[in-house]
Amino acid sequence: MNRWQRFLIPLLILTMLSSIPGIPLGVDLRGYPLVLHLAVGSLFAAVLVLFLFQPPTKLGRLSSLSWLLISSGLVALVVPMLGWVSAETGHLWLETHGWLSIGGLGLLGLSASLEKKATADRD
Amino acid sequence: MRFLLILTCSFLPTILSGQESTDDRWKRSGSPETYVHHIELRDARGQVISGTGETNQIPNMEATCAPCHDVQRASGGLHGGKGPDGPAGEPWFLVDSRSGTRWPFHSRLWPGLATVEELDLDQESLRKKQGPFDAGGHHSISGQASDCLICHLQGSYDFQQRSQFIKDGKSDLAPFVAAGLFDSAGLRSESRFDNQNRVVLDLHADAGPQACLHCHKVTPAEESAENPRWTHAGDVHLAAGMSCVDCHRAGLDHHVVRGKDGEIHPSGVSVEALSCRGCHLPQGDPVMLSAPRPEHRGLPPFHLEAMTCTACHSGATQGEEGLSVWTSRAHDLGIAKQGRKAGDPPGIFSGILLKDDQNRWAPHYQAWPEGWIQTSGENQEAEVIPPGDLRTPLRRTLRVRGDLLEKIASTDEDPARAERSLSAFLGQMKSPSALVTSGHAWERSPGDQLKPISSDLAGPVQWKLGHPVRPAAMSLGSNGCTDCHAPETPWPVLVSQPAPMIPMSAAGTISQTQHIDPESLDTFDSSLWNFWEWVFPTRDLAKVYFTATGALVLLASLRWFLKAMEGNRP
Repeated sequence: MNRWQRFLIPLLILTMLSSIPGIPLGVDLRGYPLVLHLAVGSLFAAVLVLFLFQPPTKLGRLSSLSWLLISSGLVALVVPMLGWVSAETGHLWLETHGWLSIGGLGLLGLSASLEKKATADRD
Repeated sequence: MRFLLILTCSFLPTILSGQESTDDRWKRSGSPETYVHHIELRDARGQVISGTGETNQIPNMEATCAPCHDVQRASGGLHGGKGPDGPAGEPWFLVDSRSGTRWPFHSRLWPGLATVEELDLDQESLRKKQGPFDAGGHHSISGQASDCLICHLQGSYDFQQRSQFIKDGKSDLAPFVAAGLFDSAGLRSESRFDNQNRVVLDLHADAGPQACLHCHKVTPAEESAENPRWTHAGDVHLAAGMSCVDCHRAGLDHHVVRGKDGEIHPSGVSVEALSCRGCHLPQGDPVMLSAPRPEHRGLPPFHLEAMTCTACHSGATQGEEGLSVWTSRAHDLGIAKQGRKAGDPPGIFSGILLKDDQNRWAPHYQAWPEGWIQTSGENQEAEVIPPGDLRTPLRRTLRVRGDLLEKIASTDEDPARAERSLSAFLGQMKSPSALVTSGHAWERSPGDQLKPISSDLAGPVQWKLGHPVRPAAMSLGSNGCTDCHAPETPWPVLVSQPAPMIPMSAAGTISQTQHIDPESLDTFDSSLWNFWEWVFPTRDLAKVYFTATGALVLLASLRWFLKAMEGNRP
């Protein structure tokens, strides 16, 4: 396991948990959950940079796809933040940020479970 | 047979309503464009008024318009005082310096307002004071007949003359004098009549903003050499050539659209497109004249849910929050008079950001009541004492023969003496009473002192009003988030101060507006607000941070993904 990975996964889970109040469609994350999400997410983004520049040697297709999705989610957040789109469209970008991140986390879980199963089969 | 009977009963309402809607009694030009009226003036009996010769006939608006228009229907509607009360609008004010009263009231049941009955106002005094600013109608507060000309005659309507005639008790004649059909002596202007006893009137369905602004004007009360009144910007829509009725539309029923989000029109017609949001941010296809659709780039979208458009595009701006204003109805705008002062009662402040009936932040106008109330015994609500009931007690106890405010002003320099007199006056009242001023009710305490007590009647009254509307470049947020989210900005909570006619020394120093401590409000999370104030100045740094990390992780993860695709691991 990459040394950053032991921080990365808990931070990723915390970031996801803090986004739960924003899950209902049409509702943007706001208030204290947003503050928490931003705080944890900022830390997560930094650790993700470190992790991806020193990834484990055995990064599979599924897990690399999941990190690609999570990274794309981070980029989707930047689009409305920089004012590249209108406030109304910004709402769609924020939703995209959420769906990409959730999709990435789901795939990461799937890849971990497949990897565990493959390891068990090998043993 | 039974089938036929059921069928007839089923269709009867439709048949009847169809008859109503196709009523051909009224003349119609069929075109929405101007129809120049060549009409005969008629008296109350419907007799045509001759343009020549001696006559003492007085023209009557209803009889003059009724041959062609459904005046009965046009005299109702929201503008005529009928229909649902809805969210609070601008109240009327009873300002009476003889008793130190400035009490907001209305015939509609809006929070914090007294009723006409509570203030014991008779029809004549309502007509004289409120009449000049009331277009009339079946349910109007002044009880006057509809004055069609004040809204529909373009350009040449003499508002001052109308006011004078109404004050003189000649409200029937007032519109005709204002239109120049009768002279200031109340005699026919014969030159306006042709040889068929007809007059020409340039009437329009929309006679332009001027017609509405006779009664609905708002202007800053304060001015200085550095900031004269004429430098203030007007409403962006009017500057762009629009008219009030482009948004505040109405049919013949005169249920004028108020233009608020989620408004339910009494007619049942959808008026969603006639609000800010409905016109500028429509769902789906563009509506109306395809108003510019704002982009609000970089604005977190929930602002559009938590605030009205006018919270930023009207009301207070940086450095101009809580402006003292004059309004037509409260300050007799449009009527020439000397000695106008910025602080003239009733004292109205604009740009007060409060939550509206839909729980959104919106700019409000605010004013404070002042006067005398009967504090109750137990289980009884406090009641306003009508100024008329105070004349005799004030004269007997305080020897006020004319004006209470003048009497207080002429009392020697010791303000405590005036307060002791007022306390003594309260002690002489037959039932427990209090003086409402400075945002409190003041009741008598031992030693001829006054002590403040809380009372629902002492709080401010406020009404949402989003005019004048400012363009994007002059709106809050045009300089970025820190227009609102920075430690030195006063948002969002601002209240006006009462600026009382009868000041109380115990009420402390009075400033016209002050920012209240957000922590004292339960509608507002001050901790979160303070946090954002602290964080927002670093928002640009956050943009750089997330852009940099986003770009780095995207590139790195793409690289690893492509690398994994080349291998054979699942």
